[in-house]
Amino acid sequence: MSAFRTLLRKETVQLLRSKSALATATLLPSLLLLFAPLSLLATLVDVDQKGWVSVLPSTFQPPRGLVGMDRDSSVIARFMLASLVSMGGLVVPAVAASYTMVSERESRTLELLAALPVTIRQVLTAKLGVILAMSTAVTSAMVALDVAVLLRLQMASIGFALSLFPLLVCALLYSTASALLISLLARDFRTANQMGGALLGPTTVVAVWVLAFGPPGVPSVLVLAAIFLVAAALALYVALRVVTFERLLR
Amino acid sequence: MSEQAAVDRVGEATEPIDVRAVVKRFGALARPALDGATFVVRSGRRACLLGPNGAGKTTLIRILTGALAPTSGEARVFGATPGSAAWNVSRRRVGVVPQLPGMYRDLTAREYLELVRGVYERGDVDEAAKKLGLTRKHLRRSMAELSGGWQRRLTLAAALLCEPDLVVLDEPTVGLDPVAAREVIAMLREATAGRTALLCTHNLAEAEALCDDVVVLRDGKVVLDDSIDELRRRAPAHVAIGVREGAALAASALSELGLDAKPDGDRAVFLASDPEARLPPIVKALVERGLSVFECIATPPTLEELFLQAVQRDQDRAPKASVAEGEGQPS
Repeated sequence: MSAFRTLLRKETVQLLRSKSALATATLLPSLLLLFAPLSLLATLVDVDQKGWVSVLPSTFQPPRGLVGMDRDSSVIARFMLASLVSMGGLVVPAVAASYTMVSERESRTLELLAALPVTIRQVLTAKLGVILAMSTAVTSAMVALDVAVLLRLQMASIGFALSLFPLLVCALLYSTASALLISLLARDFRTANQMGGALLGPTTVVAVWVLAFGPPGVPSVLVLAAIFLVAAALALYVALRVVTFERLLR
Repeated sequence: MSEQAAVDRVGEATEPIDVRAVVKRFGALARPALDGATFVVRSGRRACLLGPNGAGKTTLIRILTGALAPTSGEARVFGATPGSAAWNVSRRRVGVVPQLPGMYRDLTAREYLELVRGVYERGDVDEAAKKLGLTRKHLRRSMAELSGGWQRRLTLAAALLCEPDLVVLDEPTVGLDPVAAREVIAMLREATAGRTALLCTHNLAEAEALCDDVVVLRDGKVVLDDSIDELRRRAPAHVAIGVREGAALAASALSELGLDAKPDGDRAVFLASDPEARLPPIVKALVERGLSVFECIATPPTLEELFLQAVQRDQDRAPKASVAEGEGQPS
């Protein structure tokens, strides 16, 4: 346990010293979880004050999750906020996790750790644990601010606002688990980036589809969180049992 | 056996390294990196693991450190196998110098040694650094900023920090210039004194300078496992005899004695096993034939020659074996 704590300390120190990781951990979530949702909410409030005018044709039938969007701006607010929370959760840890794991292998510093009486599983768990903890802390604070504004504007129920947190955590878990899998499969950082993009793109489309076409409100958010959780478990299983850590040492 | 009993057994008189029929495949269809490797390194002995590129040396070391799991067979370190209750105790008795590792840019040398101490849960960073000549100035610098020689000293300091009973060294001088390599070999000689060591190397001079025993791996199999002294005793020595009458006459006289001697410059040369016993009567016979012997030198074979002989023997055996296997089979 002491060995694992030592690894956690090392990863924390290195993460805090890494300018690129810190930039990723603050700029990207600021954009997705602060700037985008708050400007959207500000726009919707402004539109509401001027009078909500639907530009959609009267024959247009919105998807199930967006029913009422032609007369109620809060439907769009909830849909967009849940989408942005998903995207923030998916993107933020993936880049940092792939970067630290692949660079450890590329720079052969993993050899230093493999020489110590710790397992590769402990090494990677410490890395991912620190990235996950830091991403969760930063993104949760931002989502909390969004939620506070959303509730203040009376655009969502407390239930919906609270459901955004499990959605965020499950998206972060899926992102971290898939980053582990990608790091084991990728030969270098460039390949890891390409694989990450290839995986996160369709995942984002699925997330938006579930929110748009799923049951409106809290249920679709929880369904999406469950999908992320199952996908995270699947990615973790494939990484640990099928691909295995041995791939890093071949 | 209970978990506590297994832990208690560590420290009993078990061999530091005991490799039994270890097979390692990376993928079901791949050629095995290790193919039934078996050898033992006894307590207090320093063994070198030799073999051409791709022989399986680094894979074997990774199995011994628990980083890789064997496909079949067993690799025990102080009697424990990776994953067993006693493994954590056994593994903490081993210091490892990895092959040409990368160096962190964002960690200082001291922070790295502190990390090693934290993982082993013992050791004195300053003392280990001092032993390897690392000053406070070196310890304050980023690991990647140190020169190749100092980086190697740092990895050695990390391996020796916990005062290990067994030191595993994976090509410790590879990539170093001759001066730095010489310094590292001198440090290794001091560091491995009184300890069990397994040195994996391509450098036969380094192996000869540091080791007592030799294990030769080829295509994942152990083709030689013996002490260097014993190998030398068994292998014929190079003998050079000088006579005033000339090398041709000396060679001719030696051939008459039944030796396969050839003139080489101003000496007659031949191979002779057990030179201490065999050479005095040979010299006496030459003198009796009226030759004026002024020099007789027996040079034991170098480790390089022993290694090449072992690999050659294995190569010669392989085609014969495959011919024998093919005999009697329908064409």
